[in-house]
Amino acid sequence: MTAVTEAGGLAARGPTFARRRRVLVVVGLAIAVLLAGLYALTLGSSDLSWIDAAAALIGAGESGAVFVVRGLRLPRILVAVAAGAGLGASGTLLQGLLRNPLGSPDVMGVTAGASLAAVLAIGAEVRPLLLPAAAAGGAGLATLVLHFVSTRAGASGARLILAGIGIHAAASAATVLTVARLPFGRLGAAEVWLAGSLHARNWTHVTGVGLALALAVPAALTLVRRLGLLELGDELAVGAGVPVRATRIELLVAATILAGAAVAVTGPIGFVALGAPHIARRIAGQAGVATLLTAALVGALLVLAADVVGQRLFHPTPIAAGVVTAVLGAPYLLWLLHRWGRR
Amino acid sequence: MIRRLGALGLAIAVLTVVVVVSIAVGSVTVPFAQVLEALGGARTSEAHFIVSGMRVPRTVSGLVAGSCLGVAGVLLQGATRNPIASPALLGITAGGGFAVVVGVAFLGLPAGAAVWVAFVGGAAAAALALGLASTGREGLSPVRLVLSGAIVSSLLGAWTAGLLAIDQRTADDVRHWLAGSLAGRDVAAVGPLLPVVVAGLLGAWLLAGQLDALALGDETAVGLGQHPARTRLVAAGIAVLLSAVAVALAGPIAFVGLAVPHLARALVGAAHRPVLLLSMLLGPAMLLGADVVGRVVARPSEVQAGVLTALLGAPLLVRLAVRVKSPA
Repeated sequence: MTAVTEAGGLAARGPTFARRRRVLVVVGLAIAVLLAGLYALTLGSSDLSWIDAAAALIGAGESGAVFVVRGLRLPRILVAVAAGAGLGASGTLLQGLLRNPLGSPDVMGVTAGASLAAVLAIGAEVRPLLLPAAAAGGAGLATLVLHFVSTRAGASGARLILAGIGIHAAASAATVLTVARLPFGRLGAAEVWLAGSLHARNWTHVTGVGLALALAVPAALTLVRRLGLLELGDELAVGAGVPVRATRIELLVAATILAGAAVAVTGPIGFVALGAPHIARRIAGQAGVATLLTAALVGALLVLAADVVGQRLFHPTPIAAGVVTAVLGAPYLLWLLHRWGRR
Repeated sequence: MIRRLGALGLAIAVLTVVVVVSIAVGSVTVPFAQVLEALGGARTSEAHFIVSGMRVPRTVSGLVAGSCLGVAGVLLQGATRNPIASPALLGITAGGGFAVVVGVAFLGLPAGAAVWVAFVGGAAAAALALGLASTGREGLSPVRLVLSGAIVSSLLGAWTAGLLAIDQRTADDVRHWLAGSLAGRDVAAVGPLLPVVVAGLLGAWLLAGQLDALALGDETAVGLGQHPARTRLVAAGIAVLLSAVAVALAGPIAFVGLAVPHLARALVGAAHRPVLLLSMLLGPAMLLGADVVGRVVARPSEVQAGVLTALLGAPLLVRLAVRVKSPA
């Protein structure tokens, strides 16, 4: 990025302006996520005023409100923000790595692999805290298959996505099969989870996804600089001193952990990982760290908004956030395909 | 010729075994002697209710739906000269499913209209996929066509799920059907569809020669006195109609229409007539086989046939996506 800035430095204030804009975008989005989170705190089966919600958040006010806000709504919001950020970041890494605008974990079967592993883990009665690890493992397996297909068979572009859709279909079918074989007592947990719902998230979920993000986000931020060079093509990247193979594998691992952790705590929430990077590139440009941060924040905002819309739209019937993102995101996927074809 | 007869005999034998197993085996165990008694007309037992009331109807539905899917797959692969084409991957199945959910479950059209609603929905979805794929800069490639269809399918699937999330009561009625299940079928629903099915299969048979010519390339086909565009349109129309029947009977079932023609071609070569005949037998064998496995794999509950066909067929899609010879 420094090279770009220096080269553009001759052209007066262009680059500084662009950088200032990126900072503004990131800060603005962070504020938007904060405000949306505060708004979500006031919503629920009993609505609170902004002031009551804020008071309950810091422990003041009546005990009922404090319990509702801190015990029920805050973990739900934090899970939504963390999962959305994980999905947005994961999508950015994968789209860059596969050099493919449709190459996101939800289209390509990575989240479906995570779902399968998580359902298997639910069946094996692992502790909830370990669920993100299991899901990341499943996501990793699906990514490995994809990686194998893309390198060994030389598949790229449309073929790779089609192969990903096949992996998605197989993993989804295996998930349904697994759920059908679950003992009755575990069925409820699996079904709520499969809907992509943020209903009844607790602090265990927050801890799980938080740990995974704390691990993967710093790694993603360091890797994304090298990703920019990879996107120029393998030969140029080697010339710039990037260890191509190692970087690829590290990127895959980071993207997998990010998507797996998100899916593990929310279930499959579609189209966020696909859409957030595109939105981020539109508003922040193609700029490594800034794009990644923007995509993560956009993802967080999307999941949070989907959850709020799902709660309010057909009140009192709640709709899972995953359903909302799918209904709104699917036409976007169609449009992306259309544009990709014309390019 | 001997190879073809052998393959035909094999397919008939497999289908017969699957049909017998489909009537004899289920999530509830009924002794075979009682199954025979029930089929013979003993009306008193619980076995009669299970066998005649449940297993025979779903077997008949599976036979018809499976044949339709197999033949529709052959027609689509022949008409588009695209080995990855199939009713589900071109969006036809999802379009039909979405239309049935909207028309029958929400607008309250009679259940008998399901097949026509599915036809309209399937045709519209296929047209959308085709339009989307032809905007590409390098024109219509096999992979792009199927990719567009798959994405149209995911869009319609998402919207169907959204509709059902809003209306929970309808959802419970429809969800089972949407997963592609043969359970709880009524023989009465099959009867009115039979003329449509017969007409479709007959039309497919008559088109076989023209599809053979098409396989040689459009220019050669024209040289042989064929009309490629007309053949394509008619073949696609029949394929959508047959897929609509399958959707109305069994819900949106994927991958039967993809896998069966490939299996048939592997057995008897590329000529369309034997492939059509074989697919007509192998389609129901695959669908009913998946249905039977679904009945016993998760006792006492059942897994929908569509889930198992996806599990079997999806790896084939991955393989084809990578291997198909064509400019990306």
